[in-house]
Amino acid sequence: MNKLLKYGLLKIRFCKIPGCIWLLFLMLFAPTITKSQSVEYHVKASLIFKICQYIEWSKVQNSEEFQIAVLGKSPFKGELENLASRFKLKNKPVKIRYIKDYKEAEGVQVLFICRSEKKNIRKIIPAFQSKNILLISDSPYFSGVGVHFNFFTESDETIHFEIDLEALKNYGLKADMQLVSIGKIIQRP
Amino acid sequence: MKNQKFKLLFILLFVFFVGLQHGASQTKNITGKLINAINGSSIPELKVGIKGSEFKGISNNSGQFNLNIPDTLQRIEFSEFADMEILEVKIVDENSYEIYLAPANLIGLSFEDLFKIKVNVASTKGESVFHSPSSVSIIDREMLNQYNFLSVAEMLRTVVGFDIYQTNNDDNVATARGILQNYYANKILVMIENIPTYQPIYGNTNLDRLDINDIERIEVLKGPASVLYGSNAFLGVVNIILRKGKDGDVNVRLATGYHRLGAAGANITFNKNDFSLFISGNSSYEIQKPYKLTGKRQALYQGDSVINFQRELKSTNFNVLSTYKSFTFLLNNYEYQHTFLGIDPSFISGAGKPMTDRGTLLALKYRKALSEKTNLLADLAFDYFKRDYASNQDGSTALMLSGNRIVGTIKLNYQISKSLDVDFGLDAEQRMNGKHVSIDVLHNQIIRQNLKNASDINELSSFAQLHYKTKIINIIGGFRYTNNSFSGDNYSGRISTVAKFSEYNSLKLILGQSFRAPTMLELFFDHPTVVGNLNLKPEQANSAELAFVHGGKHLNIQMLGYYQNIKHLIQRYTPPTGPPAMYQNLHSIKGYGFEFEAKYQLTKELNGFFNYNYMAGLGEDSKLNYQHVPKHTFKAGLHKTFGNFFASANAYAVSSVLGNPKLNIRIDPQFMLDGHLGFDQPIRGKKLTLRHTISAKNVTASQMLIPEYIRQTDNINSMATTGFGRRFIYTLKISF
Repeated sequence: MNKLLKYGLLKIRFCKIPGCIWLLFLMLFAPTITKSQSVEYHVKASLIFKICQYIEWSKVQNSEEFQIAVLGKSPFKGELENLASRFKLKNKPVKIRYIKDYKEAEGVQVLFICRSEKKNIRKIIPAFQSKNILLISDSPYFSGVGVHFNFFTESDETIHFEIDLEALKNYGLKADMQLVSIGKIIQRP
Repeated sequence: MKNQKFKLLFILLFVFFVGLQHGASQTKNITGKLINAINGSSIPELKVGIKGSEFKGISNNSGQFNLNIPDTLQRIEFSEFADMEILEVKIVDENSYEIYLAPANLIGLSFEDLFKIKVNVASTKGESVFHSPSSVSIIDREMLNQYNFLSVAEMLRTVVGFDIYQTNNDDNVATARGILQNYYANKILVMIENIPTYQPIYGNTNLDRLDINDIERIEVLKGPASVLYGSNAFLGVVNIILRKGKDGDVNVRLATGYHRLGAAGANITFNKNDFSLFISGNSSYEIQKPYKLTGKRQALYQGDSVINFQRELKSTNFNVLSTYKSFTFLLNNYEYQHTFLGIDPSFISGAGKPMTDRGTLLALKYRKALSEKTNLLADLAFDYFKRDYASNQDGSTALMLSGNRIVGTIKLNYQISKSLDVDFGLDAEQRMNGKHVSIDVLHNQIIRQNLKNASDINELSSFAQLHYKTKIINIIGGFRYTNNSFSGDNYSGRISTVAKFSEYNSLKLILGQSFRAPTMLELFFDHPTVVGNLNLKPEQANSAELAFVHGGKHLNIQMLGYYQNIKHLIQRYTPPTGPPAMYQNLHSIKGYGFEFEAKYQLTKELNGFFNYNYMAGLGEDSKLNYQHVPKHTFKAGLHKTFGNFFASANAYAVSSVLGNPKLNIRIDPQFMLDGHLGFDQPIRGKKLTLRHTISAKNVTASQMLIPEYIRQTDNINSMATTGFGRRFIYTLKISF
């Protein structure tokens, strides 16, 4: 009886061990799926590049590169670099820079202001007023504060942008009519 | 000790067992679907692979793929796609994925296309037809491939409430909800890329002006639609959308078959930044199996060569569709030749001789967002048509007719609020240069002008349409005022409402009016056999329909009941005293019907459709029309894939109708079945896919008779249509 019990117990214990090992094996052998990068920032990166094609900067930049800076905690995960490696802007190779302080944005043509800069936005915008730099963001809090292009998500989960025409003019930037015709114009009071 | 041995033995057995498991099943099967992140459509014929695995597959025409992967593969990472980029991979369930793709060069897309990409692509869905505020059916490329349709007519025949008849003159006459076309198909408007096309003499167009290889999908709107599309959208609209691919896409279609069929066509797409160009050219011929007249006709025409009437068809066309920024240019040029069954009253008048149609449609479209809330749409189109055909047995006399139209449309859409927008605009059309002459072919002389007092017909319309849309209700109400230079003023209104009462279910109510102004032939024709009538009133249609719609994940159902009242129907009427026949507004036809439409996708590999419609007339006048219309029509299809193979079948059945009231002979119920077997053959290492399909069309060799409802001569009860004879067709589609 004892033997039977022992055997039974052992059987149970042995059955549990293979079960655990099975699980381990399943975990090891079960295929995992690799997700691609975020669709949202894939589209936004493409829109940034595309917008640049339709903007004229009043001041001629002597640098050999077209620089795009990302200020703050970047939501991009290589999407901008991926495009920069494949496309030129204004016939120049594109360089992507990540900066923590807006003062580091010297020499850039485009500044993407991340949502993390919400607290500093009132300081950032005036600092660029004479710098002929295109300001782009994707925060509802940055709408109408002087950012030139602000991405927003429609209720059907598509990305669109709003344009601040007055700010563009003040910063010495000119947007092609095609951009103006498809963007949502920010109306100032 | 024993226990330890037993334990050791058990572990060894377990290791052996696990090893055996992996040894025995070295591969596992995963399935998935490739979806276009921009519009939610499936992506066919694209290679799919897994990194770290040599096993590769190719998506079928539904965008679905099967892959065998090593069971030991720990990480599934899909290989890069040619010209496409993975935006998101959604796990549907264990071993099943949805892969959302966009062109690798997103910058190459227009802003409009970038704005269409959903950031949560898992929710990407094309707008459901079943929630659209009209009764619209769509036959897409996927279905076209699954059932190996050879022509637009074959595609349309599967649509509930639609049918394809043939008159003695015309091939493939589209007919909606049982209202018969009188000689020419001028009660259904055909559009190519939303540009209406029809010729001014008869008011019809040729459905064979485009090759099936160039068609992406066909949208069919049933019911009066003049408010939306103008006077010829009397009982329905067929909109043909061309196939536009990725940059460098080439699609070739070759077909051959029994009895004698040959077809070849190709199209190519170029895309660069804001510019796109689609070019196609196609040619085909078919000499169908001889059609032997039977019964009464055989006795009367025994010495006539037409007893062994053999239909011949030849078709060539060339098409260009190009877009640059806000502009779109369209060219459709075609020549279509078919033998026909002669002219009333003699069966031998030109019967068996070729009738040749030539036409050119040129259009320029302009779409521009003028502001955040205002969109401008402007179209300009030129539509030319010419037809010639023999009018006697030896072909020594012929008829030739030609004419053209110039149409301009300007439309503004203004977004009043998030849920309310308005369309308003103007249409101006000139139907001109109408000629219809009898020719002495031997001496190349005009014998007579058959449109003696013809003049151009001008039509000017203004329209407005209000669209209110919330999550629950979708209402479109519109109004059109038209002034026709011969028919005077006309007013049409239309309102359609869709109320969504649960996630998958909705109700539709549509009240519509339409009108059709008389054609040049109906007004001005002057011939010993037929004369026109300058006093004709426009035909008018009023209809009401109520539909229940279920749009589920696997099953879409629409159940619809309608009532229609057609007033001032224009028909050719021969008085008891004999010819000439005259065009007259004869009577009002009232009818009602029920349509059931179901599309189902039971599993990833199995799908099908089932359509049933019932039609009947109300009152004695309506009997003249409805006695020739089958009360019951069934259409069904089933498609199944097996890896790279597929099998499908589609069937068509109609109930008994009266062939000719004078002869009082009924045409028995008819049934037609097509079967198809296919194989997708990916070519390794090359961006090339071959799709082989063998089809047996009309397996049961049914005659598929059409009532002789127009001429009603004393000896003809019915005509055989495309269904006659069994046909075996091999089609090869090459894509690279």
